[in-house]
Amino acid sequence: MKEEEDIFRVTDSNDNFETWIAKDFVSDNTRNSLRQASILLIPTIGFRSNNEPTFPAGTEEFLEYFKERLPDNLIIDICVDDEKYLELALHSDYKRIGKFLVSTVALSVFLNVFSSYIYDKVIKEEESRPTIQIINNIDNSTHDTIIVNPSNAAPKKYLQPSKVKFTITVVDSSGVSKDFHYEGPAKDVKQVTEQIKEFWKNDNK
Amino acid sequence: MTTNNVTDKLIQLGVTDIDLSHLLENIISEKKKLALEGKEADANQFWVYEQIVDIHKEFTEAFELLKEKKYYQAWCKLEHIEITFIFLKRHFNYGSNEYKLHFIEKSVRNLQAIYPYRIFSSIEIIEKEKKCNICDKIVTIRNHCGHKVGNIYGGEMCVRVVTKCDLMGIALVENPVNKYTVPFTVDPKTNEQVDHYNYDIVDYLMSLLTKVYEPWDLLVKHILIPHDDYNNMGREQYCPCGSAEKYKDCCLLHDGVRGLHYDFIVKEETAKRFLKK
Repeated sequence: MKEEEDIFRVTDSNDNFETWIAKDFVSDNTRNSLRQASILLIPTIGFRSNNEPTFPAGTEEFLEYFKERLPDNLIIDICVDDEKYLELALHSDYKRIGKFLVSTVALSVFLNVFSSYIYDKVIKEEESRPTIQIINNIDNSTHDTIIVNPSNAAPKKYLQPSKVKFTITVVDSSGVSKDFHYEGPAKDVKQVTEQIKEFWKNDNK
Repeated sequence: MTTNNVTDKLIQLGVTDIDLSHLLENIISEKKKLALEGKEADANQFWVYEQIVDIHKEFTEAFELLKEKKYYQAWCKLEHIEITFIFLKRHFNYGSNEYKLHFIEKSVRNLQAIYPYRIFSSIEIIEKEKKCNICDKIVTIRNHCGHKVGNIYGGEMCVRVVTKCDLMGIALVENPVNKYTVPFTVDPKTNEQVDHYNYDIVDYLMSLLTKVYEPWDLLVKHILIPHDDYNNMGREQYCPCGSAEKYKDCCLLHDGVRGLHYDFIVKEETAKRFLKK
């Protein structure tokens, strides 16, 4: 089967906190508390039916992980009423982490905690697994190469390291926003978060 | 049953014959007793012992099933062991030689590498309501009971139990969340399930090994198989490497067909015994 290509894409976005908080799956009550948030977990809309919000499996753990680690001045919340919360368990080669709306004041802390989350929940356990010894005799190398940590060389897809998928929308104080979308190996997430920080820094010079 | 009794037994795992079912029953019974007495930390420690013995029991049973050529049942045991390891490692760091856990984890991974299964079915669901298995309360995204998924409470690991959901579909995937869901064909005449997979490589390994804890390792080689071996293949057919592309657009553009070769590394006495056969 053809390998999917890794993606890291930056695009202009029309989304911001006001556009999401105004959605009709958010009640007035919830809306008031969401206004305090500088990080919002936002749903995928319309997977099953128009205007139905769904969140990826693992959202509860994600939210708890962040609440325990964020400083008191940064609030994380989820853009949906409790009774309208639905979790979508979709299975593919990617672990779906979710979609996030982040204000620039929270960006640096968010990216640090995000990168730790991926390490703790995905990479750490995989790195603790025994390795399979693999030799590549195809590339005409004069000596055998033992790949200690098999990547795409693992003989079955389920033995390969995990890939993740997420979108982070960063919103500045004037409401201007950009989407950072990533689909690729979990082990590269740290590097991606550094690139997002760097991009935002340079773009706002 | 005290902690010392159990650890003495654990040290003997894989060294002497132990009735694993009996040991597991005793550990679970002691764990429940400790939980009832409110000895939370001790009960949680017994949960760790329970997982270790369960891994050994499942591994021993998987070995026996492979000897009996009951491949799919053995595969399910291997999958169960992999999941148990993921849970166990959150609460117990073991060294490379402790309770033979590393040997089992490596053997499971190597066995999974040589199995012929590649595609699995996987359900897509919308989860509408969940409960906590510890307190049986309904959990919502903003209001939950305080029990954290993955933590141990009174000797039980906290998970969420989906109590209401909608099934969206079934997908065929190469990397499922769990690997129990192997698709099999059905005989159109009898309507019975047929195991159509080729287990020659697994059989070859099992012909080398006589005991469950006999050491072995695996070396996977990516090789090119000469095109002459595929003389019966047409250019327009699917490539024999399994890429799902046409032969002419895939390996026919190269010096050979991409394939895998497996080397089994065994102890000298194992090799000698095999050669004498």
